[in-house]
Amino acid sequence: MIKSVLVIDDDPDILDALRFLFEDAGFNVETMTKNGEAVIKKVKNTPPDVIILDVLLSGHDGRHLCKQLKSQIDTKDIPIIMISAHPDAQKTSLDAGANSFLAKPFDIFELLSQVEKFTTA
Amino acid sequence: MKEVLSKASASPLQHQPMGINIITPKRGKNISRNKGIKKTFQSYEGMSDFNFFMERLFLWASIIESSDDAIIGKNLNGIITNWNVGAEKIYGYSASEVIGKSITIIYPDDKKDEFHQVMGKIRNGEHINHYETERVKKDGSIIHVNITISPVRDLGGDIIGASDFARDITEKKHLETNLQYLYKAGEVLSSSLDYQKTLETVAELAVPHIADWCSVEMLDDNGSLDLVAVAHKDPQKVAWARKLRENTQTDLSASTGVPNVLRTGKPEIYSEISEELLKKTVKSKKEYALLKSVGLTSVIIVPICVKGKPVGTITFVSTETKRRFNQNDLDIAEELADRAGLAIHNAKLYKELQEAVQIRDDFIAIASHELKTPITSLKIYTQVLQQHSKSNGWNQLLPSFNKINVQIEKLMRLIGDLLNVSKVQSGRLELEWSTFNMYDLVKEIIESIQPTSTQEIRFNGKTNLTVYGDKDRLGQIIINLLTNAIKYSPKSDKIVVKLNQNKQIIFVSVQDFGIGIDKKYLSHIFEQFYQVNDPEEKTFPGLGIGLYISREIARRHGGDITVDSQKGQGSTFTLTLPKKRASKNI
Repeated sequence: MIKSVLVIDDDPDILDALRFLFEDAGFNVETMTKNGEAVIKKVKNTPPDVIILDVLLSGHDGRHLCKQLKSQIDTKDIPIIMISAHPDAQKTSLDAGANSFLAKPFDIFELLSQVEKFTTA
Repeated sequence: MKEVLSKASASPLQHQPMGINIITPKRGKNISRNKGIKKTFQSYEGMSDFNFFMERLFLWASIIESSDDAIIGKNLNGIITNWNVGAEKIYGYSASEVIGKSITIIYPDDKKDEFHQVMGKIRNGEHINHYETERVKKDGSIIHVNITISPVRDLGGDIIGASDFARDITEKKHLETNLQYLYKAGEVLSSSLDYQKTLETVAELAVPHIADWCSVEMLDDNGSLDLVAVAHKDPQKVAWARKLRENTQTDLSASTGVPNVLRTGKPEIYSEISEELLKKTVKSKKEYALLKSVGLTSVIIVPICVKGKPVGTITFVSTETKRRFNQNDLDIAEELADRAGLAIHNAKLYKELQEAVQIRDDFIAIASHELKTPITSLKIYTQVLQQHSKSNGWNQLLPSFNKINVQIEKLMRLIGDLLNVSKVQSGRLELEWSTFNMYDLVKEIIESIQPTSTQEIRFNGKTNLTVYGDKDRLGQIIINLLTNAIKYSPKSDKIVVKLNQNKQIIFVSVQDFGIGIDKKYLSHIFEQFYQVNDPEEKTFPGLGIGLYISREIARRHGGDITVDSQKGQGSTFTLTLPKKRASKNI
């Protein structure tokens, strides 16, 4: 069965690159730059197998979104990997409930192995 | 008369402390009991004893009268018996006003105790020489005097009173206190960049020796006047003055006073606030009554200028001490205001600098974030393509992908260095403390760097070495030392890394066999933005911040980085870390 990944970042180039990466690796990819409400709605309607979430979204804090998803019964079990160009954001991301954190620019094998780990668990 | 004088100067009388005695003879005493005087009288034949005595008396009286010093006679009860012209000038009372009254009339309230001490000594026949104290004038103003008090004896040698010789040293004293004040206030002003706080201290230091009141007012950004500081020795009065100020609007168009000084940048001095002047300046009866009640005597207002522009004022007011400010006081006040202006200017420059540093740091933080985003994309595409090349067996492409990856790592390190240098400079480099195995860290770093190096990196060291510190930052240091070693030894084939320890210290050394560093540059290589720039040598590009950041990080751990190098032989850089947990506060 094909696994699905939802990538949320405010930079369209990053979304493009991650789409390229995950499609190449055989995933179904959805990307979003939308605000928190739209993301929650989307996740509830079509839950992905894993979420890649940037820490800083324009106007929205990815950690806040992570907390919201992790606090709702129908979304809390979806693994979330947070990514950021601020390596300092690791602790706060994990505190917000993220399953793991990767500093940009990350190694794709690292990202893929984590996705693999969370989706097969 | 002349002859008498010259003879008199040879007379033994001169050596007797009797000057005052003669003009205050005790009635009914037999003069002949004093042998010295009797002898003297007998030695001037042809002049009657009486005439000679009167001549002498007149001479002494005129000497006393012509003195600028106050010369006062008093009996053992302290009742004034004699009061010369000098005393009239200094104390403001005429002889007829004070003769028959107690000497304590010229003692300030807080010095009344002195009277009994002085009289006690006089009764014991003691002299009090050149003693500095304060006295109060008829108009209530306080003056500083230097007094010599001596017992006065009658012809029989009994102590019957005392003579006071007093010199007015108020001017000298004020000069001294002014200079002391200027010195102290100057120190305070240059001690801190918080000028609001320092101006408060400056005002407090001024009272009560310079002025009874001192206030500092500054124009704020909106052009209205703020009372920055007000001082008086009585805190209740300060509270009263602040309250008064809150309830009164300063008329910034006023033609005199603080508004005028602010407008013109010229000081104002009112040595003596006359009734006339007071009436002219006040705007209401209430204000008049208020100023009368505080006993306004003398005022100095000086402008505080920053780059020639008045930004505030310092006001000195004399009230209860009735001190009259003069040119000298104004000079001191202006000097002080100049220093205050300089202090404010410096504080503003510092604030601007801080803001500029903040803007730079914010910019670097944003810029590094923005730079990392395209690098992230670049790395994703590169790695995906590299992976495909591998699985498709396009081996001729693989070295190029490796090179792209090395360049991406380089870019990342440069961005990281830029971010770190701004953090180090502004003291915002935060360390994440943990205990970790140093051997594993060094090994891991060498493994990641080896593919980028043509030199073989040899490593030996103790495997069980744990360190308490920031693993990532210490890793950065080792990466920096290794990349430098690779960069500066292009023609050599190896780099040697050693991990060692003694009782107190852990050493990580990185040795290369490259170009080395000339002695004359060695002391500079840890400076930020420093690049060895020798026309005879090949230049190596770089930002010149790697070693600076590395040493800062090492020092924050309580350690250091040292170098040992010989030109043409290579260099050894050694990171030292204390084994004992370094304090987080370093």
